[in-house]
Amino acid sequence: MSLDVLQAGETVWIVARSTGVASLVALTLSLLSGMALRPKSLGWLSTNRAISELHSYSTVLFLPLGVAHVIAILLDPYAKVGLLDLVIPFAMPYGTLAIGLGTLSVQLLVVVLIAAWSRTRLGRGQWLAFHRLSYLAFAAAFLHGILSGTDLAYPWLAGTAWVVAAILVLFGLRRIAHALRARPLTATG
Amino acid sequence: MSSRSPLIRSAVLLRAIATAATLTSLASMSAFAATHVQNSAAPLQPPASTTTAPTTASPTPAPTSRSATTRGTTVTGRVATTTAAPRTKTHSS
Repeated sequence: MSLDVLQAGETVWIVARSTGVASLVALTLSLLSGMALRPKSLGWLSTNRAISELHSYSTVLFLPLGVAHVIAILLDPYAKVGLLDLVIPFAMPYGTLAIGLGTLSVQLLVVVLIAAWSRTRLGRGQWLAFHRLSYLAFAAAFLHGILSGTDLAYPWLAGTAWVVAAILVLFGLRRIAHALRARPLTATG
Repeated sequence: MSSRSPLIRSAVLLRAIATAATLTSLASMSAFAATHVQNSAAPLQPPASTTTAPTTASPTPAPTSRSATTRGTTVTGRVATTTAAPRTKTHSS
C-alpha cells in the first residue's frame, strides 16, 4: 500500500471522527433548544422566539455534518461499512450494536426531517408523534458515539459527553413536568 | 418572581453563537484526531485485512518497507542481521 493511500485513508478517518463529534454537538443544540421552548428553560439566555429560530436553524448545522460523517465512514477502507449497512441496521459482522445504533439514528432523523418538512400536510398529533422520534434518534446517536467512537473513549471527552447528557435529561424532565402541569385535569372519580 | 431580561435578545446572534460552537468543535476535533490517529482504548477496532502476501519467492526486500497493519501504525521491514561466527558446536566423541 503506498504512502499516499495511507495518508488519504487517514484524512477520511479524521473527517469521519471530527464530523461525527461535531454533528453530535449540533444535534445536542437542536434537542436542547427544542426541549427548552415550552417550559422556557432557556429564558435567562434568550427570548423564546430566538430559541425557536435556533431550533429550526440547528438542522442546517447537524444535517451536513451528519451526511459528511456517513460519507466519510463509507469511504474509510478500515471501517468496512457498506451502503447496505445504511439500510439494514445491526448487520455488521463487527460492532453490530454500536454501528447499528448509528444506522438507526440516521434512519430516525430522516423520518423526523421528512415529517418536519411536510408539517403542513400532517395533523398536529401525527407531526408530534414523528417529531418525538428525535429523542430516540439522539439517544441512538449518543450511544453510537459512546460504544463505537474513538474520541469518546478518551476520558475527558466521554466525561464531557455524559455531563451534557445529564443536562439534556434535566431539560427533558422539566419538559415532561411542564407537559403534565399543562394537561387539563380530567378527574374520572 | 423577577423577570430578568435575557442575555441575548438577537436571534441572529444566537444562531451565530451556535454556528461558532459547532464549527469550533469540528475544527478542534479535526486537530485532535490528526494528532491522535489511533486510540488503542477505543471500543471498536475493525478486523484486520484478510489479504495475504504472495508466497512465491521474492528478491531480497528493501531495507525499509511500510505496511499498514492497524490505523496509524506502520511496520518497518528492517531486520537485524549479524556476520559473526555461528555459536554452534559439534560434539565429537
